[in-house]
Amino acid sequence: MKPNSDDVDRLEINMIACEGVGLCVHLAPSDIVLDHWGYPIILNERAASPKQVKRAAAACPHRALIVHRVDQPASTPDHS
Amino acid sequence: MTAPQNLASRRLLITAQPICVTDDGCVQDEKMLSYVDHQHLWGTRASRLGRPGHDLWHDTAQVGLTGRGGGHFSMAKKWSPAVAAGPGGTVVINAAEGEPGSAKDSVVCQTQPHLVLNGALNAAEIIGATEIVLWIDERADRATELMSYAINERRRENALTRSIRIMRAPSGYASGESSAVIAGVRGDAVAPTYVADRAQPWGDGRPVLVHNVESLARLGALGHTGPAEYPNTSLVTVSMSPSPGIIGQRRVLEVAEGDSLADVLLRAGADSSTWVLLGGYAGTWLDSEDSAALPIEPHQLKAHNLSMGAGIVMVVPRTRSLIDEAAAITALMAAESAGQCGPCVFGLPALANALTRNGFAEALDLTDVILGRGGCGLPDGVVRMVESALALHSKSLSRRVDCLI
Repeated sequence: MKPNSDDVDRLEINMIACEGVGLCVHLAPSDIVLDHWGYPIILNERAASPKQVKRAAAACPHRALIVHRVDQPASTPDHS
Repeated sequence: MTAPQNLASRRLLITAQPICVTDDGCVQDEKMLSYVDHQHLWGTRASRLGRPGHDLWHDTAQVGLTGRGGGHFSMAKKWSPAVAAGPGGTVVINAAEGEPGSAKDSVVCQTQPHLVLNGALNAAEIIGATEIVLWIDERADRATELMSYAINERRRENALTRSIRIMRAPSGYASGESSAVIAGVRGDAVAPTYVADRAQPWGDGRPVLVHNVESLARLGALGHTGPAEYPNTSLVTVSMSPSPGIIGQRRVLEVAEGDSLADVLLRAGADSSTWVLLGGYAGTWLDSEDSAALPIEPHQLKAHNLSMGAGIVMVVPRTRSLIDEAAAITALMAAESAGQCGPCVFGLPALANALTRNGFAEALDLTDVILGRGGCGLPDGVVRMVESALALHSKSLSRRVDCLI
């Protein structure tokens, strides 16, 4: 099956940028929870609710929630 | 025909004996090899490297040279994305050596600086970098002085094909982390940064390739010897810990392929029955008796799911509690954190606190929460160290109980 352009391949948090604002948890509660100190934990790397996750990423004031899409394969050149 | 007499002494350390390092990081009783001495022992760089750079690249892959700063990633593979990015860029000699238990890089800088410089020049030629930066701990005065002396010797002989600049790195664990080094070399704040693609940690600009001192000294040696006579050894710092979280006497030795943990401890004059923290503060606790036969060599350790990190064997007397050790080191690492990521800023002090109160269940919960969530490898390293301490602690407890019943 052709990957849907809405599919999220991998969710990532740039913890260096994240300040624990917490908007992401409100906007994407099915994929993100908070730890003891108010910082996000990703529940599903392949987001269960891609639309919510994208909205959360757009809302993050520190751009700390990163959504890697299926149609952007990461390639690493290998020479040895 | 006999081999040249000096072949046997073509090694990373200038002596087969362990080298003692003072508290302020100075090498005792050993002389630095001048450029003349260096050429006498190893030959001139250009004469051996007359082969095109790509041959040395091939040789590097062939001998399986890995990064000795702790990552043990293939050096030959690390160069590919830099070459793909086109000519230009920087090779960094990473002499920040932020682990208190490590002294090997400082020893190499103080005894064979020309081997390090040759490695940096080789790497720069291979990837087409135009500049070399020596990134060196601001406290390492003696090593900086001797490296500067060596650089000046080379300038006088016109034996530098690249410009070299010396930058003093702020002391601390995070200053040697490669993304922090790249930031520092670029003039930004020295702290780990977000790396989108680990193969290309410099991002979109000109490549900045960070190599550990020992890695470069090895590349320098390989350029002189070729794979057949390459000294396939490992540098190890055996550091004694007089009390939890404190490093005392440090001895640096060159470990031959096939040498075991027991051999290393014996050569360093350490007790054969002791706790060992292999790989330093982000390493793994071992019982030296259970692990006596463990080979101290990066590839073989990897097969055992272990790492020597930056070549550290920290020795702690068996009379001490592993939990106290883990707590002290965790507190120390919490203080070394760059303070950028929540799970590290809040998690490590909480973890140290839980260990201090013997709250093992809480500690294990915290390790789960912290693991995999730092912007750099520091918190993960501490968590693994703590988990290995807890595992070894419970193993030794259950053995004592077995003795009683």
